[in-house]
Amino acid sequence: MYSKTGKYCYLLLIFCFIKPVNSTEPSQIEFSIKPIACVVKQAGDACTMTVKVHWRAKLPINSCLYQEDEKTFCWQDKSEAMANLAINFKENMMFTLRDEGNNIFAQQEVLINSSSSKKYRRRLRSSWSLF
Amino acid sequence: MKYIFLLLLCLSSSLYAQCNVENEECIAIDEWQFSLALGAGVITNPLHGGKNIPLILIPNFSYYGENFFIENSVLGYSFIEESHIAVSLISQVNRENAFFSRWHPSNIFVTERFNSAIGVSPPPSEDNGEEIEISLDDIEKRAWAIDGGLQINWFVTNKTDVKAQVLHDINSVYNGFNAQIEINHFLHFQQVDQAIVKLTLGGNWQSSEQVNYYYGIDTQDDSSGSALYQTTSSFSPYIKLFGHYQLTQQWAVRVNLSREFLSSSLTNSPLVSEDTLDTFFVGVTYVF
Repeated sequence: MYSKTGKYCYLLLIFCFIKPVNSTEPSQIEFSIKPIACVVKQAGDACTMTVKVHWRAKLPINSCLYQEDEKTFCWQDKSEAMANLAINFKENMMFTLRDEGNNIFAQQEVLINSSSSKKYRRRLRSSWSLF
Repeated sequence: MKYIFLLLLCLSSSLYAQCNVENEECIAIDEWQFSLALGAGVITNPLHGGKNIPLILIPNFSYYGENFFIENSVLGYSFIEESHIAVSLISQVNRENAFFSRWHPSNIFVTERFNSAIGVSPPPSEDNGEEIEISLDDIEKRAWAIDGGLQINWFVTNKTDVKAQVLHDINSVYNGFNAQIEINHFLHFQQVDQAIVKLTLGGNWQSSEQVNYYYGIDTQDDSSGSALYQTTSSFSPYIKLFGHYQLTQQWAVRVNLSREFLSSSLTNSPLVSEDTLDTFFVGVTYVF
């Protein structure tokens, strides 16, 4: 009856779109992460999946990919890059592409959704405690 | 004991306890759950003159909020709840008075007619006075105690958990403590995934104040003073076996077997006639 939560993760292959923020040349950077959502069986379950990160700029730039506040990849003098990243998360997770000055070129949130709106707890007492 | 603890600690670091909605040990938040069990069973009464408690129709209800929970006669509030551990303040009716009273909450819905067959007072001792026996009909009534205290649940793996609790009577009946520790292990069968078996090993500890209140004999019980009994704290280990077979979403078959090996502090009491406390039940359950 028990099974890994990953079994319950169904990936939604939904295309994401460019979402530039606060960049010196925001309109010139495309940033995408696929998939952008993971469905778990119930709220609070963790999702484990691999996301594909892709970005493209009109001019070569120095940039780093951040998973929330954690730096995961950096590129020097590149105008395009692609990376696969294994993630495990229980709540929505924000990815940002930043320059060396920590300015955000673009960002994308990866969502976690539950197929059931119900939340569950572990029983803390045996049912039929008469026994 | 130290090595068992270390083994459990190692297991807990490699396996992750999660709440599986298909399992009975997992419950939806903010939903009342009512169920009834219909079957045949008994809880033995270890007291001289005590009536066994037949189990025919047994109600069960529970409610779990974000932090608050009710599980039959237990109220609780969890102020820490992580994937591996939960710490709760709880309050519950003390079990011991069930053997002294017919109107304990756990005895509701139990039919009286079975008592005439199984509630016979034991015959007088043939040791001609060497072993004094006192029937609960001849002593002062014991009062219900409401206990309150701390409970810790440790979800070692998704198949094994440990529960420990320390309680004190909050309505000052016996002015003492009791504690319980148990380890539960679930067995699942790949070929028969509707079946669950749970094995429990544990122990009940009672402070001397609690033992003496319920099982001691003082001058209020025995004005002659010939059978006074006061003793020390007790520890009674127990083993439980629970089987559950899901028939449909609402109906299931269940079997419960348990035996508690009563401490000598209890069995030496003139009130106590049995060394063990047994529970047996087999029946069907319906979840509303």
